[in-house]
Amino acid sequence: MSALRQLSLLFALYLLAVWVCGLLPFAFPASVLGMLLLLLLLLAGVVKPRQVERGADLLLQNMMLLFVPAGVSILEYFPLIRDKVPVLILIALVTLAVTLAATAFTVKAAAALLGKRREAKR
Amino acid sequence: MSAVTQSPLFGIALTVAAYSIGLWVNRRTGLSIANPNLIAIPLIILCLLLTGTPLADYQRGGEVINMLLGPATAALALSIYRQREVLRESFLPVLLGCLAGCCASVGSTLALCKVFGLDETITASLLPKSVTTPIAVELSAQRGGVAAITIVVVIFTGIAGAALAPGLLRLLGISDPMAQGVAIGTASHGIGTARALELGKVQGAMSGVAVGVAGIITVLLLTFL
Repeated sequence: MSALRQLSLLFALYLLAVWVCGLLPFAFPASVLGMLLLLLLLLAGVVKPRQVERGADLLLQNMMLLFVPAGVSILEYFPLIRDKVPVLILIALVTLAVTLAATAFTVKAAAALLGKRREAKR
Repeated sequence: MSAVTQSPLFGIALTVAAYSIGLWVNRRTGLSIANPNLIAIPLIILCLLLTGTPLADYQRGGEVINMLLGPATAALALSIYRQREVLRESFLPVLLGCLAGCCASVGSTLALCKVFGLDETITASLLPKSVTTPIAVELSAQRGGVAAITIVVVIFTGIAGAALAPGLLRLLGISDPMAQGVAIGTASHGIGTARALELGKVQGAMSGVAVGVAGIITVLLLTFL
């Protein structure tokens, strides 16, 4: 299938997710629902990777370009954060360190625990 | 001039041009601090301010590009699907690690926003700061945050993670490649993953898997809590 046809398939899938999200009793991001939907279809084998990969890669490889316009809107919102920039940087750095530590130690502990259990089974 | 700037093509052309410049600088220097978005966004703002072009004119085209974000996020499913073998092999450590990391990220951000007395809009914009930009933007909007603030903070987190994570992990005594990779992916998404790939193959693959898993976990955390 051509990249364009695959793209239209992805657009249709996303619009389907938008419609389903409107029916949900709680707020849920449509794009993430679209992602989960496509992941399920791929895992179930209903959609084959080659049926979407050319269109999907076109979007994935240029993903960062798509954020530029939303980022430019910082021009409009800068007054909102002007005097909070040092605090925001501090929060970003502290939470980064906390997240790294929490993840790394948990993975290490879980891997060690599983390793022990596997050895016990032998 | 306004006939030119009010055409949606103006915003599209400016975005693509500025991003190409950013990408070129990034490839020439090979530095994660020379992030294409971090170059393109100020470049466009400078252009608009210097020519006195209203932001609204630029956004006529900007919105068209922005609309593609939804399907692009859905396409992330393919990159998660491609990592399924890695994920299957070490499912539990990755899942538990990402879960702990996401809780730590959201929890510590929430606590610090309270401590510094930040308002709800800014707090909502910061909460998804560790996850990949497309998911972060959606989660921020869903809770009443500002996409622009989220994007800047997410990119900053990615660059900081790429620069500091390897040293921080060494400081913590984490030498296990899997733990390093999952931690970098959970804390600093795709930008961190690029750095994790430089540490090693295992770190890179694990970081890539963690970006997807952490994205899904954070969506569930922020939607249902």
